[in-house]
Amino acid sequence: MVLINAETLSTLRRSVGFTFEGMLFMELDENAAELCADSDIVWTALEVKSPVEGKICIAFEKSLAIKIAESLFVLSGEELGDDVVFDAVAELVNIISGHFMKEVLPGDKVFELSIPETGEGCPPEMEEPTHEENFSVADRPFSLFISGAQLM
Amino acid sequence: MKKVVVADDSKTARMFIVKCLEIAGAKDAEFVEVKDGLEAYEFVCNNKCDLLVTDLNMPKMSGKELLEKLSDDSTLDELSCIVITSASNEARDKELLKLGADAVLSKPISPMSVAGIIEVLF
Repeated sequence: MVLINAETLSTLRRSVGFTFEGMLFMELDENAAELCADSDIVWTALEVKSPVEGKICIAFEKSLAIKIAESLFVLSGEELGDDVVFDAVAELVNIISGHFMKEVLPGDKVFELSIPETGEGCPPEMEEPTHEENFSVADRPFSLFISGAQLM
Repeated sequence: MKKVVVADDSKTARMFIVKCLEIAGAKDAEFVEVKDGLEAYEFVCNNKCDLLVTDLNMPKMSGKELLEKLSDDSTLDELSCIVITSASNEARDKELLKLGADAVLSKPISPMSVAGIIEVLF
């Protein structure tokens, strides 16, 4: 783990808060405990492909991922199914990443993100240097991992 | 009735876009949801549509490729096109507007951010 640039960290936190509040009307807690490794975890990762390279991954407790999908679709978890839950968190991470990149890059640089990849269990390995940031919403924790020296 | 095609590989994004457009005034429109640019292109070529709302980053055909295809086809000149993407910034927006997009909006959109567009179209 490395120390991330303070301004970048502040932008990252702002992007997460902006997206949760804008899409879900959920207030973000930035002082959360680490995600428990024993929990059921749903993660979404995407690559920053240009003009810099890096990766952003967010791992959610599955109960939070379900709550996110329920809030977006105004349906219960049983009605939604795992594919919709995965899709909802993928879109959320896509928007957080886009907001973050828009804020950290100069406006004259076009940036490219990959299509998000989502799975259950341990999040994928991230290349060093990686920074981990822990948040929670509705008392449920989630962890954001960001890798790529040019992103920090 | 206006026909609106919403192209995004995310079901969540499509649902969110349709909901925002409806709240913003497009309640009576017919919405057709497609998962990629190719499906969107095939649909607008074969059906009379009023508005295409597209994402950028999609499998099979990206939103940028879709705009290029549309600008090459003079039969689709009257189709309005809005790009709604998480990868929007000043440089990207300029590029997409030059390719023929009528507007570029950053995700997440809100009913307020699409209201102006709906007012012009509906």
